[in-house]
This record gives sequence, C-alpha cells and structure tokens, in this order.
Amino acid sequence: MSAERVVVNINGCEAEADASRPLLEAIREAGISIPTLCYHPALQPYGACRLCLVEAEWDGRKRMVAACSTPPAAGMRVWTGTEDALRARKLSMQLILARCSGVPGIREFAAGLGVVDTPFEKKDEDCIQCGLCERVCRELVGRAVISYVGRGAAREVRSPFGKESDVCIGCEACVAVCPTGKVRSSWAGGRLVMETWDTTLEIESCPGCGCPYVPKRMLEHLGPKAGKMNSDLSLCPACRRRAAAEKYRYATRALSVGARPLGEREE
Amino acid sequence: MGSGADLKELCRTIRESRVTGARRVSVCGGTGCRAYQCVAVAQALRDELDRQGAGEQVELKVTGCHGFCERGPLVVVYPERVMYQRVACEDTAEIVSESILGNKVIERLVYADPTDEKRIPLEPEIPFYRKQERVLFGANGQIDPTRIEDYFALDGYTALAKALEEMSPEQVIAEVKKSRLRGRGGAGFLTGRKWEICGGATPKEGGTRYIICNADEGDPGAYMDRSLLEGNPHRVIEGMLIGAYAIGSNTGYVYVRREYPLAVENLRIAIQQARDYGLLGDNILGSDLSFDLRIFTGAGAFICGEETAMIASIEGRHGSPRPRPPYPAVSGLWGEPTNVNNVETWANVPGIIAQGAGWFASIGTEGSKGTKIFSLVGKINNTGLVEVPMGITLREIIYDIGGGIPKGKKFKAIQTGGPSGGCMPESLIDMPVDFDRLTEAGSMMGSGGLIVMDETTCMVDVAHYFMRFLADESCGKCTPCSQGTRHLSAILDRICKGKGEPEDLERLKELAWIVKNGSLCGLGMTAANPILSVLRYFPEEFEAHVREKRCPAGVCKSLISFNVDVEACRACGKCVKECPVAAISGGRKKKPAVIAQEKCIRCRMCHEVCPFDAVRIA
Repeated sequence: MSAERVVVNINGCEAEADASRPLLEAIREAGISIPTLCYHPALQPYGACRLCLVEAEWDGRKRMVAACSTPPAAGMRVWTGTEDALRARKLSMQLILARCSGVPGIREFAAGLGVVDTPFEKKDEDCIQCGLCERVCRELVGRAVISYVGRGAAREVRSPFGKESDVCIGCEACVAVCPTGKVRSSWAGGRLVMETWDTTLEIESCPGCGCPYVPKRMLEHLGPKAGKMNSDLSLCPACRRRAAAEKYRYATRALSVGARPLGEREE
Repeated sequence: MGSGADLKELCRTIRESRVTGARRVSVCGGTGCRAYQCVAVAQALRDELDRQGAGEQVELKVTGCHGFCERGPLVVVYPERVMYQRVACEDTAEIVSESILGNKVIERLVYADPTDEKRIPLEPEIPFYRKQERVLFGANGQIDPTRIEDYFALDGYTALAKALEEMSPEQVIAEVKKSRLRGRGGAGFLTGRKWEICGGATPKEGGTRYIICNADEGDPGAYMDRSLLEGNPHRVIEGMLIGAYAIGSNTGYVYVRREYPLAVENLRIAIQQARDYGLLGDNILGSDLSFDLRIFTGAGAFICGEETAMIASIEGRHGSPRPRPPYPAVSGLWGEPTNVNNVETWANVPGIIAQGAGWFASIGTEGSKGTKIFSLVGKINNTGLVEVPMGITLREIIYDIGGGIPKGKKFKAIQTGGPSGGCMPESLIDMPVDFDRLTEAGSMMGSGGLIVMDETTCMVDVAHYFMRFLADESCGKCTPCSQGTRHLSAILDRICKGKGEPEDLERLKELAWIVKNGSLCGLGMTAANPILSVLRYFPEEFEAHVREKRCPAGVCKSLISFNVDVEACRACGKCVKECPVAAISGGRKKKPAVIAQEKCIRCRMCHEVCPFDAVRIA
C-alpha cells in the first residue's frame, strides 16, 4: 500500500498517520505510551494480548479496539486514557499476569504498568500465546516450523506432533522474540539444541578457523539463495572479513605497483 | 438445459407425469427421526406395500425433516395428509392395509390434543403446524433430497433462471437489498448490503471472488441448518447460484460441520445431480455464469462458525479468527473478496427473486423481515423445528406452537441465541421475536435455538453449562476470551459445588466486562451473555448459591440432598430397586425407605420413580 497519510484525532489533538501502518504507531509517534506484548513492527498485526486496547470512533460508532490491528481512517477519533481504556488494558495485563505468575519477565513488564498483583486465580504457565515465535518463523524466516495446536487455555505452539523438526534451520529468531523465555535454545558439543521444539541441529565448523559456526541446515537453506556468495557463507564472519581484507590488500598492492602511494610508506 | 425455457419445460413435464391426488406416503428421514429408527420403519412400510401387492402403485418417499421431532417417526399419507406419529415397525402392516389401501384413519396413531384428547388426523390442522408459516420448511415434506426431480416438480431453479435471464447482477442485489433480508446466522447484517460490498471489491490479479455457505451450526440445540441441508439441499444451492451471479463469483464452498454426515451426504448427491443437469459448471442455463461448489467439512470446532476462523480453516490453518477490518467481503479467502452467508440466508434468496422483495418484506416486522426457523427444544411439549414470521411473540411460540411445558410444570425461562445469547424470564415472553428487540433485552436472535426451561432448571447451572462450553471452544488466541472464559467457568464451577465466595460476584462482573469489551471476535464478545443474563434476571438464584449454598431448583448436586418423607412413603420398594448405588435401605414391609446420604450420588432416580412423590429434594 502506498504511504497515504490520514488525519486522526488522538486525545483531542490532531495527528497525521500513515494509513498503511497500525494506529498504534501513530499513537506512539504522538508520544503516548501504549504497552504491547504480541506486536512486532516487522510482522502482520495479530491482536492477541489486548494490552493496546484504546477507544476509537469512526463511521459513527465508538468501540474498544486493539490499536496494533486497527488501520487509521481519516477523521478517526481516538482516546487512549479514558476510564474504560485504562480498565481494559489493566484487566488484560492482570489476566496475563495470572496466567504466567511465575515468569520474571512478565512480572517486571506488568510492574512497569503499575500492575503488581492480580485478582484472578494464579497459574504457573510459561506461554502467553502472543504467537511471535510462530509468526516470525512463518512470515519473516519463511520456514513455518511450528504452529498452533489445541484450543482455549490449552492451546500450545508446537512442531507437528511435537516431533523433531526437519525444516528448522536453527536461526533462533523464535528465541529472540519470545517474551517469557519459554522458547529456549542452547549450544553444546558442536550442536544447537532448540529445546522447546525438541530439535537438535548439527553445527558446521568454519573451514578457516575451525570454530563451530552455523547450523548445517541454515547453510543448506541459505546456500541456494546466496548464489555467488556461497563459498563465503561457509566461513565465519571473522574469517570472511579476513578473506575480504586479503582480497583488498592484494588488489591495492596490484594497483600500487609502479606508483608511489600518497604519503611515503616503506614496507 | 440450455435455457430457462428448457428448465421450465422440464419442471412442467415432471409435474404432469405425477398424478395429483394419487395415494402416496412419505416418511420423515431426518436425523432426529433416524434416532428413532425411521429407516427401519420406512423399510418395513416398503416391505409391507410389496407384500400386500401395492409396491408398484403406491409411491413411498423418504424425505427430510418434517419438523415435529417430538412425535417422530412421522409417516404422512397423501393426498389427504393424514399424519401418523410415533410409528413403530409393528404398526406398518396396519398402516398399509387399513390406511393406505383401506382409506381409513388409524386413530391410535394420530396426534391427540393433550387438552381434550381430541384426535387431529390431518397434518395442517395440528396446532403445532397450524400456527407456523412454513415458507421455507414446508417443502421438506415433498422432497426426497436424493432426487433433484422432486425439486424440479416444485419449480426448482426457476428463480435462478429468472435472475439470469431477466435481471442484471446489480438488479439482483437491489432486489435482495429491497427485501431487507438480514443474515440468519446470528449477526443479522443486511444481506443485500454485504453482497453489494463484496461485488464492489476487486479480486487480485488473476483471482476470483468466493462465496461461502456457513453450515457449521455450532450452537447446542440448534439444528435448523442441518435439516435444511438434509431435506432441501437444492434450495441452498439455488440461493448460492443466484448470489454467485449477483456478486460475480465462480467458486463457492459449503463449510459443513463434520458432525452432520447426513447433510454432507445429501449435499454431495445434490451437487452431483445439479452438475448432471448443467446447473453447476460452465455456462449455466446458457448464460455467462460458470460456477461450481465444493464441500469442506469442519473438524469439531465451534469457533469455525466465525467467518474469519472458517476462512482460516478452509485455507488449512488453525481455525482462529483475525481482526477485522479488513472484512472478508473485501479481503477473505486467500485474500479475495468473499461473501459468507448462513444456510438459511441462502435458502431465502430464491423466494425473494421468484416472488419479489415486496412479498418478502410483507412478512415480519419493520426491522426484521421474513420468517425464521427456530429449533424449539428443552422443557417443551412439542420439541421440533418451527418456522414463524418475525414479530411473533415468544409466548405464542412456547404455548400455541410448542404446546406449553410438559408434566404441568411452570415455565421459568427461555434461552435464545445459544451460548452467545441470554435467558429471558416470563416477564419478557410477550416480546416479539425480532433481531433488535432480543438484543435490547440482553440476548440475541443467534442462529435460532430456543431452549425452554421450567422450575426444575437451575439458572446458575445453565450459566455454568454455557460457560464450560465456551471455555472449551475458545480458540485460545486472545487473552480476554481464553483466560476470561477459563476463570468464569472455574468460578461458576465452585459456586455450583457450594464453594462460592462473597467476592465472586465482583470477580464475575470484572471478567464479564473484559471478555465483552476486550475480546478479538464475536465468540469472546458475547461469551459473558449467559452469566450476565442470569445475574440480570435471576439474581436471587445466584445469591442463594453463593451466600446460602442452596440450589432453589434442586439441581446442583453438591447443594441438594434426597430424603424420604416418612409420612408419604408407602414402602413399595421401587426406589430401593432403582438406586444404582444401593444407597436406600428399608422400603419394604411397612418400613419407610431411608437414603444413606454418604452413598447417594444425586442421580434423581428415586425421585423420578416414586409413585407417591415421597422422595423430596432439599
């Protein structure tokens, strides 16, 4: 979509919003702080955690919406700090906190919003169903290793039948985005273990320095996409830089034969 | 068939080949009657007809649901339309010899009015049917759903021909808009307006628009769509064809829940027969319309009745909804403009085209036009499917059509709109059935389930039942619904077990608020309705459970006990024999029965079987 700008009204002030980006971004650009756990600017809006609930009015109707998954419309009026909006965000946080009451990251996040306790029965789960792991794997990395299984409070994210994955390339994007730390990985003995998906990946060593460097499957996946760079990819970044520097030094030496370089230099 | 004229000719030919006034018999073959062995009854009738030498002359037709499910198996003898009810295989010999061949009416098998025991042999005169307006459903009795010729005999597909040959797609949309038909799936959105939006949305490069029939029908107790698909699948197909023409689509899906095998099978047969006659495929009736239908079966998830979850399911993804906008009419199945309508909505379309928007709009109320098929179930004498004009009151449905409450019990409440709806107490049953009126009262029309409750129903138990259902069916994507329904369900569970706490009311209200206002989709947004309507209309019952640990209706097992009134007990021993856990001693030789409370599992058997009403519930 083109970068069409529309004028919206946020808490009484006019603001310009990119119509192709979620309302949440316009609100944040206006300097208003709205919490999110399932939103990621590089991923399609998902709308699961409901921490970004605000009141918005358009087409003559006022409703409670998740700002991360609402497209701004010309003339839309938004209220982020009404009693109902605050209540909605607080209750959503309290529900998440009750679910994962033992997860430090969630407790800290909630405390940052002024939510230190919850009136709901506490559970000790480790997943808030934000979907970030599934979404980053499918949308950004394009591997779709994991998906949603089951329903309701028992819904989980798993690899098919919970079995070892043969499509995971060990990029660890899922680990990077997980807000609770449920998605974990570890490196040990030349192997990358994607612990949450019960998947172990062989690590290739760099032919240059011999250090364990990258999962074999990632090289296999990226190889065909890298084309002429293929041979360079198997080298670890440090060795790649050394190899590039070698090429450059070789090239400049070739250039400098028969010419005096700028600034006297004796080799 | 290359044109509408060919079709009309075919319809006429079929009609003329059938002798009107001929002796024939139809047997209801809907799923409800199948549970009562109607297939065996139909076979027995067939065998008897053969045995008595009339197999050739008397046509036996197994049709779809006749609607009077309380009284199945149903057998109707034509042309008089004598209806025999609760027919068993043993009755078939007599039916053939005395009624079909002997022209007599078998009194004992005919419906008897409960108030005066008067026998009413003719189907249209039975009060259950008399007060209905069976515009859509009436055809079920005439149609063998596995024979498209029966649909042609009723001028089937001629509305499609009219649309294709006499109207432009825009005119079809205008007609549907003028009729003010509103979606019958529950939301009640103006159908013509949805078609207009979808028709106006551009498909992707090289893409197409899709139309979908929502036959997921997940509300417990609702089976209208099942019976329409089982009994008159061509009506739905014709409606979809007209919609495809109006909107500009060449591919449609019917998403049927897998729990409806008969509907799936009859639809499959109907689609094949429609293809055989060129009514599905390329250049239908010689026009530019090319369209075909695919059946997609669900996998046991209530949430897949929500249109975006349904679309995800068809795409092979986890059946979870997504935020709207964009609405499916603009961007739906595989990102293409997609029009999703309920089975009954599609079924209404041919009538609107054939008889005109004016005719349709002459039925019903200002805001809700046409008829609605309801499933009338629960504590009601005449359980079944009823089709009534919008605007009829609940009282008329319950008493005039439904025959009132069985066993002389007192009406308590009626649940409308399934798990997304609410209970209406007696004070509201003069309300006209209408989309907006029901919503104002804190309930909703929903898909048309009407669950009647009497004094032996515990309203807190009802709220608990629906809450457990919703917690189980929540897709789990958004926090308010997956966690909210979970907590609401757990709190109600505690309350029904006598472990309610004073803070529970506050907790329930907070949870109900966030579930209603914070959820991503309609399931979540309406999930609090059952508990909210109980709190609104039956607060005393709720208070009794929480504060007094008492169940006034005598239902919640942890809060009741069964005791023998020694004055009333005649020591007949019936309860002793019936008790599945041998918890009752005495009850013989003039000694009154005694129930051992610690063994009692509260199954109610003793209370049900005692002829002297000596077992009391405390």
